[in-house]
Amino acid sequence: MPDPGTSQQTDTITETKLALPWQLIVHNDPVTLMSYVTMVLQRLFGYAFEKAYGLMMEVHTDGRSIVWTGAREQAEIYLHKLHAAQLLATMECVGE
Amino acid sequence: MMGPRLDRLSDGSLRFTEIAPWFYSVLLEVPELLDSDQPEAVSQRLYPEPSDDEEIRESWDKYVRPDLFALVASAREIVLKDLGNIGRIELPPPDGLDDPMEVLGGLALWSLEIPVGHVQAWISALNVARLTLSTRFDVEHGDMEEQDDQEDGVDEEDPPEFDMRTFAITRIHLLGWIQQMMIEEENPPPSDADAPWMPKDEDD
Repeated sequence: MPDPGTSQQTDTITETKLALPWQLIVHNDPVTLMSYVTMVLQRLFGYAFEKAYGLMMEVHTDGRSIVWTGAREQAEIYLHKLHAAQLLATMECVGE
Repeated sequence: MMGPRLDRLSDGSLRFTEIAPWFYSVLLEVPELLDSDQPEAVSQRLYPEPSDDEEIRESWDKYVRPDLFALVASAREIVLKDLGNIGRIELPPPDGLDDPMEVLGGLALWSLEIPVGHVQAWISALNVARLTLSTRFDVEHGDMEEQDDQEDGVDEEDPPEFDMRTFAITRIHLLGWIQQMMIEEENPPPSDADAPWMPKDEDD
């Protein structure tokens, strides 16, 4: 029988992670076109060209860029779409 | 290098014309590059891990990856269908040759029409095809730039060595050329934007 204390602790950790913001990170890859990354960020997040272009350049020069931060459920939906566009993207819990 | 020409038709579809034979043969390879039967490294690139979080990874395997597989399979079907309608335009034989088949298996240019509802699937399919080639042949950023430099002017005294990897990089560039034309048509940057992929004025 599980220790009720352990179960409660796990629930608290899970709830805390759900409440914390999550960030979506796009990573660089050697062949994906700059224009393609910019287009995906514009269409997916509704960003203006200048913002999407700036994030894409950050990916290109720094190897990664945080393209969005927010609730976990929405992060998962966006990440699904980023992967559907074959962008190398991950999600991370902020302040974990 | 002579490239294809792209026009937007009145119903919104895109039409590539003046597709040279080498471009045509590279396009015909796209469906094979989207086959589900790929080396593990290709699958890992096309369907990367979403997070370090174990719970997310498990739900991803269960609910998201099957959808991602289905999207690529659907793009493959669309590309196959459109390639099935590709048009061939015979060119007159050069002076002194009666039979065009004597030159490079026949002189012809090709035209490809992409219905408006297929354009995004094509852009995505070209991306998958380029990623598959780059992963199969372990292409790095430097490899792409190196061949870009070579394309600016081949040293005829010391031509680059030909091998399958070099050929793969050439195909990645050619597919990128087509993809770029479609993206510029679908998602043109603002006229005052200084995007590096846009052609520069002569004065720049």
